[in-house]
Amino acid sequence: MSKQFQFKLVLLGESAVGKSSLVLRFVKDQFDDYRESTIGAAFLTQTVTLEDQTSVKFEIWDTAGQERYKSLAPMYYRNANCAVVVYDITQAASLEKARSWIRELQRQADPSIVIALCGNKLDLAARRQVTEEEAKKYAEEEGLMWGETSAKTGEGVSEIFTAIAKKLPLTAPPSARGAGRPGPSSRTGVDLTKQANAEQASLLPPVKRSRFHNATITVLPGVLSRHSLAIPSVVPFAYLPRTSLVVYLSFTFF
Amino acid sequence: MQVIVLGTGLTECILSGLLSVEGKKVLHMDRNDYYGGDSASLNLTQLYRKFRPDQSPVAELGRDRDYALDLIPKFIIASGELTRILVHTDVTRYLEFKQIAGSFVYRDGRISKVPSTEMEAVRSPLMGLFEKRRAKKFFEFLQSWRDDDPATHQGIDLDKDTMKDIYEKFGLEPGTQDFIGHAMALYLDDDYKTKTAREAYERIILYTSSMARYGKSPYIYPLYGLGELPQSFARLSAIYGGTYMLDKPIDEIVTDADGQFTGVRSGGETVKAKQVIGDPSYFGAGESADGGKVRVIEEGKVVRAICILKHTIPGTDDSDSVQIIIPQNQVGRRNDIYIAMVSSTHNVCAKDVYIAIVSTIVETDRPEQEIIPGLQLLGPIYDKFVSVSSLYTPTANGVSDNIFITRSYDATSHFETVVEEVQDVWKRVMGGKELVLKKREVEVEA
Repeated sequence: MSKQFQFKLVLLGESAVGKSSLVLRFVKDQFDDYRESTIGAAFLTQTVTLEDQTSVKFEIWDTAGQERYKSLAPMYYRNANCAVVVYDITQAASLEKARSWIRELQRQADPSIVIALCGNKLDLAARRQVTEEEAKKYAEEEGLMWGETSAKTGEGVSEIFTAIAKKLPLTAPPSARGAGRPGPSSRTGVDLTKQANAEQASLLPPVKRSRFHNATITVLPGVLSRHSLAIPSVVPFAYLPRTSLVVYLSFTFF
Repeated sequence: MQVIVLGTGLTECILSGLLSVEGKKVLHMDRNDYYGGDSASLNLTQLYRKFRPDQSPVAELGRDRDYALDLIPKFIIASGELTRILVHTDVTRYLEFKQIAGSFVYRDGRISKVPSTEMEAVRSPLMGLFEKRRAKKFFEFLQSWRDDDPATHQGIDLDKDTMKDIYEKFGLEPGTQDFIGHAMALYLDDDYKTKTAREAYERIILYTSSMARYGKSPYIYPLYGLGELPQSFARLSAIYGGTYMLDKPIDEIVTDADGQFTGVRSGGETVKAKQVIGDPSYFGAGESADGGKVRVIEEGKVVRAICILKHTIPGTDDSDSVQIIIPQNQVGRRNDIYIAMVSSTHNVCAKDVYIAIVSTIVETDRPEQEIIPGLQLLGPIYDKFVSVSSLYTPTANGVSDNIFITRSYDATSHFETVVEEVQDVWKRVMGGKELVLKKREVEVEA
């Protein structure tokens, strides 16, 4: 069976260097010349299938504009397996900004994070302010992956994500391997959409359930289902399952 | 700008998330360089900066980044309203939760587990044999209650009779009443006994249904600490166009001649907006009035001790996380003492470290003495950080001046009052419209 991995990828870089455009090109193969600042879609996924049939699913986090006023939450870096730090090859200052994001990652993120430095807007190479040599040299010094892209033409985009996909399964910590984290289905914690657990159900002897049939474990519609839409915001209690009273009723088992 | 939100506590962040989804243009600012305000989780450096500015953290405690210490001890009750908001807004995709391993109650000098399974109920020393039978009848009554079926009412009216009446009807002992009222209905004092029983009934149902949801305890807790909650709602807001500015000192709430809100001044710039929502610290809390308008008043104090332990709490079966309730009657107080403990299982501290917060509502002028019964249950305490915080409440509802001030985080053990506050503020900000949760649009998945 082919191997499957899932990784969290975060985007960083100054405003307007093309972070969202890069993702839009990678995920949907589209480009929008007049794209507004990121609104609405800040959680995309894309799967890359490698030559050996290994598939690598990226869960991509966009900054949602929170980088603008030093307001990116620690949650953003949390458990990120890889980061794409973007600069604009026509703006020397954006590389400086990229350097400071990389220092921030080295300070805050997991030490095993794979960082790719990405020079975007290659279609505007005529106005280039950052040379390939300069960026490449810096990337080598810091042990980063490096590439140049054009979200507009698509040049270099799939290459950089594929390169990350190839590198990740080898370097990611064991916890990120196999089914991988994150993603609701593979999480180890509590699933909020879940009703009472099976173990709990089995604790209730059948005779009890028939005697207090109201108290059996019933999956009530709409209590915590992600997909149900129209639940009134008040009347919480009417919806609640009443199962565990059975536990207290079982005092009689004495 | 339509709404300016000041302070990134959980109440404010839920509100700005929901307002942004609703299509409001929100600017959210905080004077601190971290998210969460009073409901933040701090690393060691931030904790020391707050409590002991002249010291640096002890190296023995391990890496700074491994710590996320809550300032306000609360858990999420599994079947409560916060859970519904988390699921409906889909911010659950940014969060992971773990169960709290056990809930304990103090009785006659020792702690016992609140039973979560039949075996535990049978073995529980909390009630004698005959009392268990009486309690059974009481729970059976609650269980079978249907508003529209008088046959289930046994002559009781939940909207007229008091809890005291009902306890007496079922002949429950004072210790059992303490257990039900404090460990299950989670009342902080005994005032509920003389009020009509409906609320207590709903609280007991909330507790037991939460207990049933995942077993072990009725509580869940987000990995990396409670501070993740405001961050996740802030992200929701940002995704829907909310603008975030941390590390932004707020110098003035600007009003016009009639006292109506017009904007917020930070340094040399003033941002104008129609409405402002914020926590009490941005509206003169703790400062003398100086002839200005008094917008918030203190309605009580809470003492909290963040205790660093190197072991689990004695008598809790080595549980990695617990709630312990010390009912007020047991220690001759008016208000319960709470202990909330979490550990490295929840990614809030280094391995083999346990973080317990002991808290209660202040009743005397020596608050630190009041939590001693709680501290004594912890065993050796490696270090502790004690604070006394005022609980502030606004003097006006904001409808006339467009200044909507939220209440401080209270001493209850979960977030249900925070959600009530969110619903209440929402309704006032939206001109009387109830909060109805809308489903987030589904993003394109490639």
